[in-house]
Amino acid sequence: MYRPQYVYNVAEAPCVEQTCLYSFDGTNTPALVGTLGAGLSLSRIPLLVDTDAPFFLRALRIPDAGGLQVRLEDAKDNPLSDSGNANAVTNYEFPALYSETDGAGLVPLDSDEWGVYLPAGGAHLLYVYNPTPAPVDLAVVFVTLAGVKRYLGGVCS
Amino acid sequence: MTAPFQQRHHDYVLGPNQDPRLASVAAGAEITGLKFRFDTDAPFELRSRAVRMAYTDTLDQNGLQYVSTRWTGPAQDYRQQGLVPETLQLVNFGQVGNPKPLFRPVRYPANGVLQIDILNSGPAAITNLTFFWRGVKLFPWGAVPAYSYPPGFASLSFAYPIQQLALTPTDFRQNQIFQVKADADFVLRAGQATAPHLTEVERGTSIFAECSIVLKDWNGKPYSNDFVPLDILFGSAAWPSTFPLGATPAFIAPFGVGPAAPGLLYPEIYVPRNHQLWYDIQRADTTATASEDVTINLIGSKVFAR
Repeated sequence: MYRPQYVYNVAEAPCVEQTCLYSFDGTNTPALVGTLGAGLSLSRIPLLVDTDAPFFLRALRIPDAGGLQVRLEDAKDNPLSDSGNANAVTNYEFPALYSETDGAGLVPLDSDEWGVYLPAGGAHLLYVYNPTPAPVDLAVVFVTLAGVKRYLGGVCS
Repeated sequence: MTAPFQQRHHDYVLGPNQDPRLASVAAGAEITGLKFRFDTDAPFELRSRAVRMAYTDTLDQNGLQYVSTRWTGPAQDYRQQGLVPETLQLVNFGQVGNPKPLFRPVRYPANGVLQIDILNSGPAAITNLTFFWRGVKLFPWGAVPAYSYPPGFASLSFAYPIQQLALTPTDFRQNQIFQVKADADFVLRAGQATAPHLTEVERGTSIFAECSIVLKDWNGKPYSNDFVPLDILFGSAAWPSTFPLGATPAFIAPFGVGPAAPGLLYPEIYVPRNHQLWYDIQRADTTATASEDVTINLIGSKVFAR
């Protein structure tokens, strides 16, 4: 259920927007393989996007992954949730409060712009933290980024 | 076009603290003409509502499916022909941060009165029956201090998770502070929070369900007249509890809740960098045996002046 508070404007010519969905897990992101020990974190996992057009992130889905917490940063290292706190738990987000949809839909990101900008070939950065008392298999981490590619001039094939 | 009034988010709570008859509504009991008076500082425009009762130790609100109501506008004019079951009106009883919108909104004058009739047609008493009336207070422009956007700005989706650690079963913490960091303003638009759940502890099962807050601005002016449960104001995905449906009853997990449909705060609350919001938080799980950590995720955008 995509329910932004503000409806995104449609791009004007010569820009053409194409809906795009990126998914990342252990099959295409080597850092998401193995286990993450209790109290440990993984930093700056690149979530690469295509090189053909800039990407505007507008929604995401990161299901609950064994109690792991996550944080995303944009291409300029701007975090999309709080960081730098003494309490490590508040430096990351629980999926149930941020990115979990119980198997349906996407979580829209609040934005007054076109979305969170990512240049062509750029990467969002994923941080993963294990606040639980036991190791967690990273195979349960599955990240979906939804948004639009914006092409200049001409309709994309 | 500028709106004629300055709107400010407000939640009105009508529960046992407002009328002691709601502490326990007996089986088969009908309460007629229960009057609720709004604040005197501003008119109130009712835009959505919800209903709740105290959670049982089996993490449900069995009994809520038997509640029927009818209520009035400002002129003692009933908006329903007769008593209407809440299950026919409110998906998930308006809980989990998704109150049932009203169209058209109902506007009450300052010091106005809402009258409600209530029927419990069930076989058991309902404990702590509470109604939530959500909307906006209407002030003359400038009457209530409110920060707003700079003339030129850029924004970035952002969320602030805040925690209250080790809330005891009957804890009360006043004037807790949420402070926006120095790099950018923050506009608060929605929230999610720890959901009601059961915890296995050495002495058995402990419940976490009756946790509520009063959100206040930087001057300490509250956004509600009483404590609002986290599961009313906010919500979360993977909702652990269920809602009763029917007389038998069937217990249904809420559908379509969580951060995809978060508890919206309208109008948004603009908090400049380094500024604060305050909140009181209390927990009233009298049968619980364990302390709990609570996380509230404040969702909105950072605002960077250009």
